[in-house]
Amino acid sequence: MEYNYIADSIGWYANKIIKKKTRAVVRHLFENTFYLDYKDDMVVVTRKNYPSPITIIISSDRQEKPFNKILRIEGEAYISRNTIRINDLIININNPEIYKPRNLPDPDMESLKIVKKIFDKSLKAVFILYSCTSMKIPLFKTLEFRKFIDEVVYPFSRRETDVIHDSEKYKILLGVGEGFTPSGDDFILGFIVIVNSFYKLLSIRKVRLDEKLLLNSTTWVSAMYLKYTQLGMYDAGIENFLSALLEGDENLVKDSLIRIIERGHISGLDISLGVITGLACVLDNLEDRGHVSNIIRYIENFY
Amino acid sequence: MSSIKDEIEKANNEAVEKMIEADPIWIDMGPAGAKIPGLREYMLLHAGPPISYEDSSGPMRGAIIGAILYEGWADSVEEAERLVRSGQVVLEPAHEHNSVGPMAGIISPSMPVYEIYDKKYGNRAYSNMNEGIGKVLRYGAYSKEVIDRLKWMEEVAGPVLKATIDIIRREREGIPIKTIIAQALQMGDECHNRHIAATSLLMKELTSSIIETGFDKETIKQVYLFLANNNFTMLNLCMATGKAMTLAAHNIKYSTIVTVMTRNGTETGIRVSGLGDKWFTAPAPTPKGVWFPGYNEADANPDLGDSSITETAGFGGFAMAAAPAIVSWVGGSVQLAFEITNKMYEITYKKHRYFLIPYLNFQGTPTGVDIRKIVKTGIVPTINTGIAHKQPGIGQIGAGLVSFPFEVFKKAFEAYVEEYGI
Repeated sequence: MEYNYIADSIGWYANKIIKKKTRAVVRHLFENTFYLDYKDDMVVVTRKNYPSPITIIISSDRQEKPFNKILRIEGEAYISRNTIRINDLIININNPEIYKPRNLPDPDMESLKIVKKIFDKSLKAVFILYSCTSMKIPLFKTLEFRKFIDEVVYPFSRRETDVIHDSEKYKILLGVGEGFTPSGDDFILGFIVIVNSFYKLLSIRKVRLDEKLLLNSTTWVSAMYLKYTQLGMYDAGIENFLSALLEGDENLVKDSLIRIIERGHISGLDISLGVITGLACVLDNLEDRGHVSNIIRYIENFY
Repeated sequence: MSSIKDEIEKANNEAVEKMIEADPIWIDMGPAGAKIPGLREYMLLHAGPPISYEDSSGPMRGAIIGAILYEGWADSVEEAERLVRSGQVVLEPAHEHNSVGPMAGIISPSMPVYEIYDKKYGNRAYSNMNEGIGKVLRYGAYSKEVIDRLKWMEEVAGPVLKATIDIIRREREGIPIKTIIAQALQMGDECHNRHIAATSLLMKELTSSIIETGFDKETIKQVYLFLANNNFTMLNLCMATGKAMTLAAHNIKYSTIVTVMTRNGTETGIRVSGLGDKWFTAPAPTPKGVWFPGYNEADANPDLGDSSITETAGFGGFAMAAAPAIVSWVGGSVQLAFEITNKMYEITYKKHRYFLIPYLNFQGTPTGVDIRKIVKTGIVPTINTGIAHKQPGIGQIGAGLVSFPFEVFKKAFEAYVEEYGI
């Protein structure tokens, strides 16, 4: 039996990949999402409405059977001009909307005002929400996290900027924690989003982690997400947060942060903690000190 | 110094334990004006968060007009409207008077109300009597038959029930409604929109005493049949019981547990244990449902009623897996009923100790909605509900399912973050 889907939206980078490479394999498979491995690239195919540069959002008129009942891991995907075919699943890619992120302006000193305004409340909100999760040891209570704070975050907040370009330092946290995208990776992802967005204001280079190091240190999916993030390719949720921050809309900042927090079991909270830690470093660098210390105080008082 | 995690954990455990261990019993019956604290002449209590007459929806307006006519404060609809618009008749949320009412939830001083007393924590909660389905005040109808029925409830049914509960109380403290809910959940009710078992169990409790009241046979028969033939007789008692349970959980510092979820037909409102009596509101959504012949979604009023106190207390829609037959009334499938209960575990604090679901291997119902979990997961409470026509005077046009808007929980969470330090 064939299952016919239509691609409603294709991320600009995913579109580039499928135009260039005609074969891929299914690497991971879930009810509503699967991940295609195009050798050095990843394309996410999903029924969920989470657009990103590497995502294809598909839909069907008929009752939708879970992907993990239709496909199999290592199943081959064949891409022609109009379709992607994987086993019995056929995706029509004839006329999709191409998702392109908005061009966000570079942050300026005005942006810091809104960062300052939302920082304390966001930090408090994230820790209150961590308190309702069932994890025995959250990421921020691990020795690896503390080491990363001491060796990367604190020095960077004191304007020792070289440390954030040392890929080896990120090995401390990469792959730490359980899950499809380990907690440590999620934190780094959020941290890099902020550092690379504020790089001009901080007078630094963008962070570029070594791809091999990423692949050797964590899961394939997580390494791919980190690879694209450091190239500025992240999903609409993170983009909305940055755009609200840069536009100075406090309510939108709070709303978009909540949308990030909702992701996965714990991923959203870990990404948000990375974002807030990144913002703390920006504030410590460019404004008054004490924001990273504030995070540490919250961690110490958590339990 | 305790950490925030410990403080919240301690507070939530206390709140939900109190909700579960509360022991509400029906102890008395009497005119609302004499029973409900703060309810005075020319005041009406209504469902949901605070609202003015001007902002009220059709069914709420209809019920307000009907109650004013019923009380004899006005002789015409125009005069009734003038009284309420001028502020001579005051509107206040029933919840602010430890009371609850289904749909429009209008309680006026002459209406007989059930008095529920929580033996464990000493709280008292109140609800009016259920009028049945179809053209009734709570759906905004106010024709002569509606007003006549309310008068009969005041003059006949109320006094008979008062005499009945007095006789029962000669031998025991009252009727344990929590026990009836627990039993009914194992007999295919969920005790919000399905009360077939619960009403039968109540009638079993009442029968011998109602006969002993000394009223004439015809009166007793009329009252008995009015109660027994209305499958929603138990709804109001279950609601007052839910209110007593959630009152026990309210006002506990640091607690993130929701103690009121309600709707007034225009807005949805919640209260949170650790945030005192502050309301958090957002526009009320319109339920999706099964329509009575001749009606559809275009006729429906936005969501209405205090009856979501049942879900707040850990039964009703949250116990839908216990009541597969309810899908014929509110729509959906048996599988959906099961999925709704399962999903609610993700946003609640713990499983109820006494309200058990046979189909889930006697697992307790999801109890204690936690605003943190809603914000974290994006999952919102789903309840089942009656649906009122948006025009006053028409009444119920269906029943269905509705989810509370995320916005109210987000607002409450933001207030919590403001309120509590770490």
